[in-house]
Amino acid sequence: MFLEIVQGFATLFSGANFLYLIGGLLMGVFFGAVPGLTATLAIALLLPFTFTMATVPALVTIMGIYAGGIYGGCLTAITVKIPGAPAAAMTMLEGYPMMRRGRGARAIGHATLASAIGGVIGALALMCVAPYMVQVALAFKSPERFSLILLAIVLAATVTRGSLLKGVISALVGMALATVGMDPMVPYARFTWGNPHLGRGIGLLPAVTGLFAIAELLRQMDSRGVTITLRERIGFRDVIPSWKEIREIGWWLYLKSAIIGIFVGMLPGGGASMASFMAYGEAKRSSRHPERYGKGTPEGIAAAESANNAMCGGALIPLLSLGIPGDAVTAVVFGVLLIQGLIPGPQLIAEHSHLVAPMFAALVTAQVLILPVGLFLTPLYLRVATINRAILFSFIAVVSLVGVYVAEFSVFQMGLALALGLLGYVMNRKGYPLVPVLMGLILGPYLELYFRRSVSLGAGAAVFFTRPISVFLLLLAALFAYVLGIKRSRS
Amino acid sequence: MSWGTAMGRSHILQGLAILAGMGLYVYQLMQLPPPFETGEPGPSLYPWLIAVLLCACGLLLIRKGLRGAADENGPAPGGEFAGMARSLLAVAVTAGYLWLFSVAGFWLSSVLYASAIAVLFDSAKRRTVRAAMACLLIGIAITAVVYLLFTLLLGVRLPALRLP
Repeated sequence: MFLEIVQGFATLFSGANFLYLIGGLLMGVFFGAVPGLTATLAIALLLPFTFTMATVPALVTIMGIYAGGIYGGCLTAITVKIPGAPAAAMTMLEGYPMMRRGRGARAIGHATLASAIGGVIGALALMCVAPYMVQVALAFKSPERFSLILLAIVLAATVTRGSLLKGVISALVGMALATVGMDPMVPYARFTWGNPHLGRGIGLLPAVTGLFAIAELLRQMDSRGVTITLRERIGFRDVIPSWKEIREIGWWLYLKSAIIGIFVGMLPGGGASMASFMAYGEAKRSSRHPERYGKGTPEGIAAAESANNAMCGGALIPLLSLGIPGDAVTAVVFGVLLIQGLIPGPQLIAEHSHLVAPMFAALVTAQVLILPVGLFLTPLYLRVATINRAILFSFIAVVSLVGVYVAEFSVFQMGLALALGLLGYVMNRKGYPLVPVLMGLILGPYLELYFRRSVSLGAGAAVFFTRPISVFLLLLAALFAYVLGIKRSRS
Repeated sequence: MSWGTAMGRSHILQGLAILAGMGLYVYQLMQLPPPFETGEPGPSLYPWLIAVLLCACGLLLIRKGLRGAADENGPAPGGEFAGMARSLLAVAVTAGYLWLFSVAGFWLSSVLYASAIAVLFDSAKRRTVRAAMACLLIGIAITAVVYLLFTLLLGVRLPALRLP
């Protein structure tokens, strides 16, 4: 794999690929910095454009958006106490008090440095772990694949914050939506209500656009929005953290937080928010000065930011090696790979390493590029983040719906996106997480396929309990459901 | 019985909504052949499992509501649908856009839609003719940018006005 990765770097730095990466990174930081916009939304908007893009530029752009989107949230979290992305909430706890003491620029510097360090560690972990996991995953047959997907859906439903029951309902709604259209094994149309448009099922593009763009537009209509006013001028010279401060934080904290981020990223449904929350908690627990937390300590910023950017690499590990998305962004990346004619899973790395290796290279490079972007472009981004909401969301509304139209030249698909947007909005309003819906929608057909294949070929449902790996995965699903869901609900 | 409390009612309404949705789902499911008609798991087996699980979840929500369990995402102070007026208006505007898009093509429908969304976002702040004109300009500019993006970047022909 080492040679392929070297070739991946060569591909990245040849032709226009590097420009795509920079474009994606800048776009990602913008979407991360503006409250209400997320990396998921940015990739969802990019989805229709990937139909005509070659595979490598499409994947490279997405890696840029992913890294930039997770990082960008810290900018407004530190300067105006409004996290641009939910993952930046812990950064806000320490960054804003520093801002009020006139050290906002320095807080941004620490966040940038930690994001880059954590992000690079996460991307390196992806390069090292994913190819080995592929070797294991290639040995999986239908019963093991069923159990693995079930584990992923159980995790997505239980790991998300809020009510366990609502997480389970969200996943089941996604799985029910996935049953619309042709049966995966026999040519039989289901749940089409006689409408030929539904015969092909609910496509990923209207689903992602509806659940993440239209639903967000409707949610923003509800809220009064936030007015960003910057009281302190941020000059880029003040941003660079001192060596003394970095040594006080300690390299171990960056590394430990990145490892936490990688593991949380690997859990389907974990996401950047949980990564930063857990790393921040651990940093505070093990700190020599826990009393400084909440009052503006660079340690807290470093832990949260290192973890949430390391999560990017972690979340891509199950996607590329097992075909299971780790969070909302990787769920959309799953769709991009399908659009490009690639099926995420062990075969992807084994057979298309020339396409995946530039993706690895792009993720590492994007995390390194966060340093110059964060240190030199922060003042510019803070100005851009004050953009009028009317302009921003009118643009998002038109571009997302027209994007859905051009994929199939079908107004029906636009209507489907609107219907799913309304569903997503109502579910969001009532506290139902949307990531499990998307996971259920994406993984549902595979779950059904492997379930029916296993039952047909084996001795009924008992086949899942006679194969050791399948039993192990099912036990793991039960354990996670108990520990993360039921036990949490009781406490 | 806590049907009277807003918190309990919220759970009950959510449970009933799930059961109603499952009613439609099961109605369509009944049109499919039975799960093991051919001796092997057929197209209806997996949807039946989902339907049973979702119905169970709906009933659990209703039971929670009847016990008066608090829903952290319960109704807003003004009621279940408070604060949703602008969002629902946006849904209606979007539905109108889809109709106009198929009839009047990309340009006219998108200018009106983008302007309408801008008006809805702006309406909380100011309601003047000047503000409305600004929203119209926003609509024209956004439509032009989207047109350029799709025609230049994707090389796609967007639908034009259909004359009778």
